[in-house]
Amino acid sequence: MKYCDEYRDPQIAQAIAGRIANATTRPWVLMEVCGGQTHTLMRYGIGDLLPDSIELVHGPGCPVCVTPLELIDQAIRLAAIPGVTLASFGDMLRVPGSSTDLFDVRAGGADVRVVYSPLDALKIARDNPERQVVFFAVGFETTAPANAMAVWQAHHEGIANFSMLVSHVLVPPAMRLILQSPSNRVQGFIGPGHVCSIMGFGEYHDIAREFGVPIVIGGFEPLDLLEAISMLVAQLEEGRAEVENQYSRSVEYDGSGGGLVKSKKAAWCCVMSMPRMTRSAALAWSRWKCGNRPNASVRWCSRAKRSQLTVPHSANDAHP
Amino acid sequence: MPDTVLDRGLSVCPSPIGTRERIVLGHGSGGRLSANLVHDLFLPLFSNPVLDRLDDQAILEIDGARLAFTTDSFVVRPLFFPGGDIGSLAVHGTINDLAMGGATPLYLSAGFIVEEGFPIESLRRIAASMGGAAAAAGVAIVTGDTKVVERGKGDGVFINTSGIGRVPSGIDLSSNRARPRDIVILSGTVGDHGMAIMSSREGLEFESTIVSDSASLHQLVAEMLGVSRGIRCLRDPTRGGLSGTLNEIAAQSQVSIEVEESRIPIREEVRAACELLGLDPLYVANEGKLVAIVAPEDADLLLAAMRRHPLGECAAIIGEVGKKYAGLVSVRTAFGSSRILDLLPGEQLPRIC
Repeated sequence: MKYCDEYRDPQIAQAIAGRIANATTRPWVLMEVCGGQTHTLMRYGIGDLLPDSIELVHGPGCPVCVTPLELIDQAIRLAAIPGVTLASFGDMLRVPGSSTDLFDVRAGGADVRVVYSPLDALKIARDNPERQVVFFAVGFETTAPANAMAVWQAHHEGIANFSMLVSHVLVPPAMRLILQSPSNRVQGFIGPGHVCSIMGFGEYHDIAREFGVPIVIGGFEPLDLLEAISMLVAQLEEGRAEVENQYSRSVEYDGSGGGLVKSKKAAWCCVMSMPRMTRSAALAWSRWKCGNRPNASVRWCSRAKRSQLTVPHSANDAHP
Repeated sequence: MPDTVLDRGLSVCPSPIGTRERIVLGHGSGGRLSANLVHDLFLPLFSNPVLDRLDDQAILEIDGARLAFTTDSFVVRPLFFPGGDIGSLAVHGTINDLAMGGATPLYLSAGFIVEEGFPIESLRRIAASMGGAAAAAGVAIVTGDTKVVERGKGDGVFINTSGIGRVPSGIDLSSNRARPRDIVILSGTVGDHGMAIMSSREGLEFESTIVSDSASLHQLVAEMLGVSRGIRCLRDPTRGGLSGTLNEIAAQSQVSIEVEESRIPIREEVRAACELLGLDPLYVANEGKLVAIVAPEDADLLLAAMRRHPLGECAAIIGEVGKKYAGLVSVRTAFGSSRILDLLPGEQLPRIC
């Protein structure tokens, strides 16, 4: 596969691994932030290629793991409502809530669909106007633009039966939480390549400076990750704590947001208004949608559930 | 205060639910849930020496004759897909289950569960496809049944086929016969059937040239048995893919299996489609491939014979049986590292066959 195989060359991998081994004089603990990077490390057994003194701690960048339990429960409750179709990425279906998961709810008769894109969920809404279609939108900065695009598209087409249950999170606050933990052992980060493709990496300088931790924005192919590890080890051995960009074929300093701002201003505003952490992000989106445009035909679940779907809600659903 | 999963401890990562109170689609995936269902529910209730071998077919000794007997149900969606349809698939699938026991397939049954409103013309097309596949394979459909369910209670048509074949004397193939140092041979590319279905599945359509590998393998098997008596086990890696089949062999033989990733043949377009959809081709279903476990001294001879057959021309030695960790399947990557190839935890894509 063009543009993939070039980054999977075993001989180059061995060469970089050798470089890492030669450069390493003492133990270092590194963390890759993204779940996609973790997948590649496992898939290619990268850990086997590294010297024993390099320890990889797998990071918080799996949207599945960082989705709050109460939101999963909320998705399960929504899916169980007659007339509701709940759509999400396949991984979310097996994530357990307090007592069950979406697979089980589907087995009980709920209409739960696996989609590959929020636009597929929008298509379900378009094709089934009699149903309330809810997209369970999880993820980091990477998936936010696509979700915002689906909202923009729904609004543009006047599709009234489409909502989102939003659980978006930002990477930098998660990294700060880890670094602030008294039990933290992480000495260097492989930064999130896809997130930085969208957001750029300017905001990581403060973290590197504040915590004295090197951050290398890394890609997702095995050679990307080995190269990023090599760059991190070089920084650590030299006593530097800087932000470097290994994934330069995709990531620019300011990210790709500029184009989005120009072409999809409404959608991008939505993304830019995300505050620091999970549920407040959902509610900020909701506020933007429903507050700035009270007559908007697209309703967010956090609002719609009270007015339309009558979901039993808890105190956690209150606005911040 | 922040309110993320981090508050519940950095190490918290939710594990999928293992024990379930009702059937989910993953129980039909050919992975871990399917295995649990067989071992925990059916086996204790049906246990007998024939069934307990857990091969693709039962081998029955009746008045000195050795018969292979098997059954399979087909619920594939869509009914017509690139490279085949539910009719030909229902014939190939059951013939292959017989062939994996070394049997010469003789007779099939055909049971139809048809949904009210299903077009007669579509049923005719499916039946014609079955008849054609059976004739091409030299087997006869000798008995059948038709049931109709109310509209909305089925999904067009489901088909069950059972089959009987004769096992030549001296043939004893079973998943419990793999031994350390045996060689693992794969008859061709993996992932074709699953990705052909995927490319035509409603809501997932993507343009591709991938066609299903659905085919009857008994003639290839006959050629193989003709050149080697060192074959321990044959399995066709359908649901659960190559991973599922290798795990079943490793578990039943209490051996480990290590395969070389770079030796596993995968079509470029299948690899690309899997990459796009985030799937591992080693878990994707096949309907015209087999895995052979063979004594090391026969491996090259057998491989050459397989490659002479059209359905085995891409055959490759992909790995070796070991003894270090009983029941464990691992993959050696192109980088020289290893990873465990476990059973599929739940569903990958339901109703693939």
